Amino acid sequence: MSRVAVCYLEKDAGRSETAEILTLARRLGAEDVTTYVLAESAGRALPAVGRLVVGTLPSIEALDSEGLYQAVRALLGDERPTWLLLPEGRLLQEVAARLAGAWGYEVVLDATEAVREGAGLQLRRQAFGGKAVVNLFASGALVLGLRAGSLASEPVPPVDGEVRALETPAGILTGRRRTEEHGPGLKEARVIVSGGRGLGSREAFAELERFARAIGGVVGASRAAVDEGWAKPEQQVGLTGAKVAPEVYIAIGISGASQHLAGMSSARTVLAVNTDARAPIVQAADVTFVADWQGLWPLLRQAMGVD
Amino acid sequence: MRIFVFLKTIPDPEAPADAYRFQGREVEAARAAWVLGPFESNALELAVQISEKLGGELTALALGGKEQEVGLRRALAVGAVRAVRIDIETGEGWRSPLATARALARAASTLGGADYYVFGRQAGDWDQGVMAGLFAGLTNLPFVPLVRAVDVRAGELQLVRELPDGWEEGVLAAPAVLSATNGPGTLLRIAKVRDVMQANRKPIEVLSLPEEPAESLRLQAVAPHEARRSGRVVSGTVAEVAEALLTELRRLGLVGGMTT
Repeated sequence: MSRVAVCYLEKDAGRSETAEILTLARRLGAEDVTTYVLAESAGRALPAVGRLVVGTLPSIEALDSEGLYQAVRALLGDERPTWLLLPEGRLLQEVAARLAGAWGYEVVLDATEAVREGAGLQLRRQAFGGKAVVNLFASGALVLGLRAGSLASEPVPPVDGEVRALETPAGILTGRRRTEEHGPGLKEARVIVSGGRGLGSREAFAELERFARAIGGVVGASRAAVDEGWAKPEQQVGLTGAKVAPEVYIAIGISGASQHLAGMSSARTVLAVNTDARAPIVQAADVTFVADWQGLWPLLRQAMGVD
Repeated sequence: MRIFVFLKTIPDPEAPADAYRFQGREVEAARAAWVLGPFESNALELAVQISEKLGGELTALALGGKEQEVGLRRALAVGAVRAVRIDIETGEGWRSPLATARALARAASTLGGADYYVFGRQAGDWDQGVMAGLFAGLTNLPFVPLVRAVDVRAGELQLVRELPDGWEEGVLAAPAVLSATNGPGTLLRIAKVRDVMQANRKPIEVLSLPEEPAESLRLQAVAPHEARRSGRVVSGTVAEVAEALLTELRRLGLVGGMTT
């Protein structure tokens, strides 16, 4: 008999990633499904497949990675599901793999497909910076995370659940404080103008802001531009930065390392400006304009009437 | 204070797609150079900074064949005092994440353990991003992922790490497992020529371990992922290219004026 457990944070109850993971839990058709939620207070009905167990803690936001891990362990108790499903976010980054190690489970994150086959799971994910697609078969216990947007989610009605009051776990980081919040950024943007090493300088990168503003876009960056210190890490688009899906994506001075392409391949229209017509970005763009941005920008700026 | 950094040398992820051949369960990348994985280079920089700032001794470890010496020598050139290649007799190219983490945990314990264990956030080949967490779970150590900078204040390790919606800082006591992400604070320093030459003469230890029992996750196939677009290329004088780009921006409704 296969058992499925889903675990998410209450604040993520309305997010599409959570709906996707709940939809998957339902589709796997396991005999026994339990949804676990870490919540700051009890009493609210929450979307769940199968049984709902709510673990309450006064302040989940205040937990560091250690505290969050210990809270999830306390919530799951002796539960050892065949498959534990987690949505994208802090639980995947801070808890998933460690829990798998502690339980002696395999772990697959960022799967784009998970289908039941007999007693096991047939999985698909990308690798080699998006250059390859990998098929895996999990015949045993597994912690699983889905790439956001991999599944058309179905509505999952909220239910009332059993409540367990958890003790606040000790953390590992002392003197902890948040230093920066990411503003509404790349994920919501309709138009993204991203710059890369080909821009050549911090000043040239900074100029991109004017272009982006003129066309109603926000500025993104390749990993190279972040490493150079021209852009902030939260501006990074790519497999390990933001995965974005704007209407228009304009890549300027970005050669198109597959790590980067994996982050922007869902854009509706992709334009590129590059001096090299053989750069990998050309294959990933609808139109590539072969030119040096430094030479192009003054002409565009004049034509567009940008100060 | 002892610091272990786990490195992985991989086929250059920046190599063009046609340098790779994915077929069956095999990956061939004979035309791509072996390089230290991008996030392992961040891990190495972080580990070197920790060892310098806390006055610790840095050991670099890598699991695999002789190709792993590329990353290990890089580590020796930037400050590691010891480099260990973990060698496992195996007929199979792909090893499950859990089996790999078990081998790393066994190697770490054989070498006497460390105060801080530093990993990259994900290997640049299989992109699984689970090794540091699995290792922490197997060794029952605290895990702090996605560290982008470290500093030492009053003898304590201060770090800055990434959250899904921002950044946080705090002080981390040993022992703990960290994973490194990229940023100006983790950009791997360039080794001095003299240090590179010395590193090439230093020995790389080999630690032979038995194969871990087969786990329940199997690789079935790896295939090329086809790019969706095959783009039009516009070239000409700068003025011609600028005009074509403006036309495209107008067509997309991003620039006012005449639509074509």
